Amino acid sequence: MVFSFSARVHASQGRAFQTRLPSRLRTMIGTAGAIGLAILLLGLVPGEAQAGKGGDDAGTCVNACGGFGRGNNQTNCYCDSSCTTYGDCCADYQPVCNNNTGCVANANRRYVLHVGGMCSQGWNDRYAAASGYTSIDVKAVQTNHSGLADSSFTLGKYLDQCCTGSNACYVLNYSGGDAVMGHRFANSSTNWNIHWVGTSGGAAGGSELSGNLLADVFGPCDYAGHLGTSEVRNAYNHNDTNGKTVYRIGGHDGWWYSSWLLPGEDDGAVAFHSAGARTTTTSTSSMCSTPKWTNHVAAWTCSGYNLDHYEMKTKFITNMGW
Amino acid sequence: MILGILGGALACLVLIVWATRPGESRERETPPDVAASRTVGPEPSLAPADAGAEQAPADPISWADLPEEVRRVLESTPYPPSSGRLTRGNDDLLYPNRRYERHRPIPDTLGPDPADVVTWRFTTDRWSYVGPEVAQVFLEVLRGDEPVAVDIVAASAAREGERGRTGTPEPVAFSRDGDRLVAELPLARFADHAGMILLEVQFEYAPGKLHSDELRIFSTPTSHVPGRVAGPIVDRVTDGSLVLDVPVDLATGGFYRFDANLYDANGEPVAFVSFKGELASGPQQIPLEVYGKVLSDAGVPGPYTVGELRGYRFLDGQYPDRELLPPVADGFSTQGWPPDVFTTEPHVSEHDLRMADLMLEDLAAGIPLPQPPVAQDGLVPPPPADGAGSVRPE
Repeated sequence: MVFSFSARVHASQGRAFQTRLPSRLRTMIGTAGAIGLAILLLGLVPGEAQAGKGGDDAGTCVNACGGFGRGNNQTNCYCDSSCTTYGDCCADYQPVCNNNTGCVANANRRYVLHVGGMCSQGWNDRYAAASGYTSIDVKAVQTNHSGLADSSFTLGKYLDQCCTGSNACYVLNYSGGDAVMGHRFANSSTNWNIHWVGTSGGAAGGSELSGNLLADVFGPCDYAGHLGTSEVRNAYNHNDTNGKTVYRIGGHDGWWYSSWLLPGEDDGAVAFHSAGARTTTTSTSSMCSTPKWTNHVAAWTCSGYNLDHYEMKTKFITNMGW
Repeated sequence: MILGILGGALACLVLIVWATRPGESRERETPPDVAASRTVGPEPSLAPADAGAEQAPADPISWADLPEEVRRVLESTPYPPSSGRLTRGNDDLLYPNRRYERHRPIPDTLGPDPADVVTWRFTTDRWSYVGPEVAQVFLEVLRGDEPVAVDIVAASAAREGERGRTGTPEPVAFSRDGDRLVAELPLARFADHAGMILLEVQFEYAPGKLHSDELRIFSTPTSHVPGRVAGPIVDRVTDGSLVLDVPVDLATGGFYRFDANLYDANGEPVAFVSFKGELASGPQQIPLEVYGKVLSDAGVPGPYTVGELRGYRFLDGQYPDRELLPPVADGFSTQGWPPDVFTTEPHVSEHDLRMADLMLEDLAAGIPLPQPPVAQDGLVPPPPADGAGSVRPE
């Protein structure tokens, strides 16, 4: 068999990103503070949303374009055309209502998509600076009870625009973003031009911290109660990655106030059974332990990193030298 | 340039045949003798016409001459995403509707002596239900390894929509069953509510000591069932792959996903298979294609038994995001296909080739294609401390 491949000129696009700092940690240490802090960090330090009003109780524009944001606290952001004037758009207003992801479709571009964790609308810390690639902060809102469905829908907008035709992508997930990417893979028949997916502290296997332990603490972030092991593991077929390899890394610097709830090694928010893509919630101290979901592999090290869940956020980027 | 120049009439013919074959996927064939087919001259690209606006004449190359980065990707998945090997370890596929709650310690009881730690497990018999089924609810509480006779202070079940609880909560009445408490929750109580049902319990595990928990189950009431499997499966072998034609009758068109497992005559898992795509309403056949190499690699002959056949209509961007089809009884067996009717060739799709095309283009433009090293105990060095070095395995 002989193959033929076309040669095309590559073009890249520069893009600058703001860095934001965590803003909510200080408010959570009260009667239920320890667990609250752990759960808060599971969602990973929400911050003010870029290009829109957001935060940990933010609404979404999915099925809400033209009016209030949707969600339990719907009126805290808007999805109408004047929201850009007033500066109160929901974080996902541009991709959902205007199909504006920041990518140029079918333009021979290369992108790194960053899919953050639950209850935050931004990557917050820093983005990959891969040669020839433009980083994109995926504004997929994971805050409401419908967080997984909402964010998966929004991620689909990005993938369809950024990663099809002559474009190509890497996707970097963090925490809840792991489930968002998996949900989209399992429920789409589009073959996106994704080289591979990288996941730090992946929550697609769920967290034992989820449930009523966080419900009172997490307050307005309704989605926090939906990352339990049963719900996430039944939310989609984790073995369907459209044939793409999902590289995974995990941390083992668990927090004293949460690790006792998490089996095996953990980063304080998710255990290795989740970060390492185990097919069950079996306790394990190795990211390489098997069986794993199909096409999921541990990257770099089996022992994981001496980092907590928050510190894991940019570890994949660092490891790549991006 | 590291790419070998191949082609000639034979290459053109093969390419044209390849590129014009119907269907998304094709089998990877054995690389040709490079020396025998080496020639000079442009070849048509395998990339689709819409894949790029700046296409230039392409260089045909052989499989063996592909850069390692590209070959590694093409060789990473010998099966299509829609089917693969299934083993006893694939609990999530073998028991697709199972729950994962485990005993967790109540924080107030944590101490140096494990025998004093109280743990609880609040769960149900399944994750999802279709129609007027009855959910079995369980509460187990242990002090050390000994059961604790707790008192239920409150227990209820409520419909949950995108804004949280809706409607009036239904009481949940527990009774003792050996060392645990059990309750039955008829889902007919929730009428036409589709989606999440939130179960909450509060119990007293020691005098004056209360603990509470919550969990969710997923319900598709009869009024939301989008269709059903409507007859016996028919199996055939086409192009070296096993195809299970599943008859369904869909009340509503839309995007559907179907999954199933295959077992050998001894009940050992062999393969998983799936279908996803847009379907119209009405009676039709869903082709579940088990790629032939999956079965030839398994090396076990038919008949194969189909199990855990399940499906749903996906509601993109909606909540709930799916409507489930009723479960299907296991037990259909295929014909006794011998393993040698199935292809042994790895699977390569048009999309795989398009990706390879994009990768070659990047390499030609000087854009690196890094891949993280797969971790194996003792085999992969840690990344550089400053994170700035090579990430490629040697």
